[in-house]
Amino acid sequence: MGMKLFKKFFLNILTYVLLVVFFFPIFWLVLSSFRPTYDLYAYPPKLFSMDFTFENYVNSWSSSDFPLYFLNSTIVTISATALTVIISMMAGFALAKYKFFGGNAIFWTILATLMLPLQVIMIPIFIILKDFHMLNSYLGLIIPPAATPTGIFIVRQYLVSLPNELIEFARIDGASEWKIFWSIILPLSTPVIATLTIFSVMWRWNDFLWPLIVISNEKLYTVQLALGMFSGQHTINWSGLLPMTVLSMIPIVIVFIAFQRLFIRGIYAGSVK
Amino acid sequence: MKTKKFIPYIFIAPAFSIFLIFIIYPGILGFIVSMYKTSYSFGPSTFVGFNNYFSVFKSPNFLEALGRTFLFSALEIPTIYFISLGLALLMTSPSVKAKSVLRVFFFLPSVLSGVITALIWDWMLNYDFGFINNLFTILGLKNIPFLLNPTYAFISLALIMSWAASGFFMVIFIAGIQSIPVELYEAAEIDGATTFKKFSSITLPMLRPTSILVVILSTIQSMQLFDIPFVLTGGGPGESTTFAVEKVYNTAFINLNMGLASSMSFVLFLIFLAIGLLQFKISREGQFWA
Repeated sequence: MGMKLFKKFFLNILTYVLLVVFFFPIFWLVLSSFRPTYDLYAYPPKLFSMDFTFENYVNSWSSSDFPLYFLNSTIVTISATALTVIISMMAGFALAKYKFFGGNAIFWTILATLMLPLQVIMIPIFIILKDFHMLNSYLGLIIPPAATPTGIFIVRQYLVSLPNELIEFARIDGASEWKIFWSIILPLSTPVIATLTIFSVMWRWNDFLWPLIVISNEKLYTVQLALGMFSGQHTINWSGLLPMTVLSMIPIVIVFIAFQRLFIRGIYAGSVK
Repeated sequence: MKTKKFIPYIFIAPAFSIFLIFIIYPGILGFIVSMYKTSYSFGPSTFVGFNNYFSVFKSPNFLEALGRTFLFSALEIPTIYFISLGLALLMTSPSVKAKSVLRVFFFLPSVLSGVITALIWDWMLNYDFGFINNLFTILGLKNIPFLLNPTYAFISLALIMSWAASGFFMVIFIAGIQSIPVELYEAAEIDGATTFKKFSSITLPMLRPTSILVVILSTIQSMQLFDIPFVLTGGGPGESTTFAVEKVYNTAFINLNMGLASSMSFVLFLIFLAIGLLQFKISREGQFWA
């Protein structure tokens, strides 16, 4: 019995030590963003001073282009996600519910593009966007990343499990294929749409490499690009950077906490089958 | 129904045209560009055949970055594997309370962007103002140049990547653990098996498919690694944290040698292809995580 109690004690201690390792860095960032500049740079260091202020937030929000970067990120995230959901639903529906010439080939071609991540094709992408005059534009940030093989795959897997009879009956009733998609398939797909929406929001909001390649005009920076570029400068202005870093993670943390079940389900749907 | 044969093509057209224009065509174009001596303008360029590939393999630059990437993977993948498996075991153990809340905290770093992760750790490990070094100063210890010394920076990055990724893999391991039939453990208990014995002869063997998946996914992740080192160390000090993708990026967008960078990309593509085929061979369903 003593052994059992010891084991329980040990496992709990280990869990909480790991909790500190995983959570403290985030907590410290948030805490530091509220500390006055003279405390951030104090020597000897003042780690545990209880001086807190909103000054950093007010200053960097009002004296930089960060509001603009947040607007850019919001526009890109919302439009790219809407586009991703609609085209993935359509493509997933076609692949799940129709037998047609080339269907299988198209499905495998889409899956094969997983082996061409942006990291591998960033140079030709840059050249193509340059030729299309899509560099330094919202369109360049929104359209190309909207088609994701993962999205089409999870939609197809979900729709395959819906009974075909639903569609057959609607056809007998004389519904058009578009109407079947719009008023039968879409309403029944709420779970997969929710999962895809959440992942797309996370991907687009967090993107760094994509905007880094497409955008060089500062007015079109997304939040991540701005943070990445400004932190690369020789002397980092931490009291300005910390509050913006905190603000930039708030949307994702809220989405994650609110929809954690969907997150977890999405990981299973995408990776463990 | 015969007249409606074109309908599935209409449904698939929007997504597939984006794939064609922005993924498949670039894939082909990239290979073509790799045969040319091209600069930024992509204007007049000379066909040089496979010369860029000879340059890639002759100059130590890219091979070093590639080797560094493999070394990094060799350090990072086992670390991620053991931390995420350990977390999953704790998060399924009956001895630990409040697991559903704790899980959220362990998973949290996985939803943060690479840029935010880099900034969080820049602020933790900063030589002058970072938490850890400040704590060392207060305790009268010597400061550690976590990000300023090549070896320390390399190891710090591997640990930071493990911090960022383990929560995600924990979730995959939890699913694996929960799918092991309870009867196996019950039977082992009747036979008087110890906790360790149950772990080594039931849990671990039953987790084999999950383990393979985790290793493949984390391999892909570390081969694609770009934003965290780019923001945190800028590939330095020196070139100590310049990995393959950053080398491609620098060659293309800093040195403006698109042709050479494209042939580096093609070498990277072959590596991804090999991983992809391996993965396909191991599990038909595999992962689809972009």
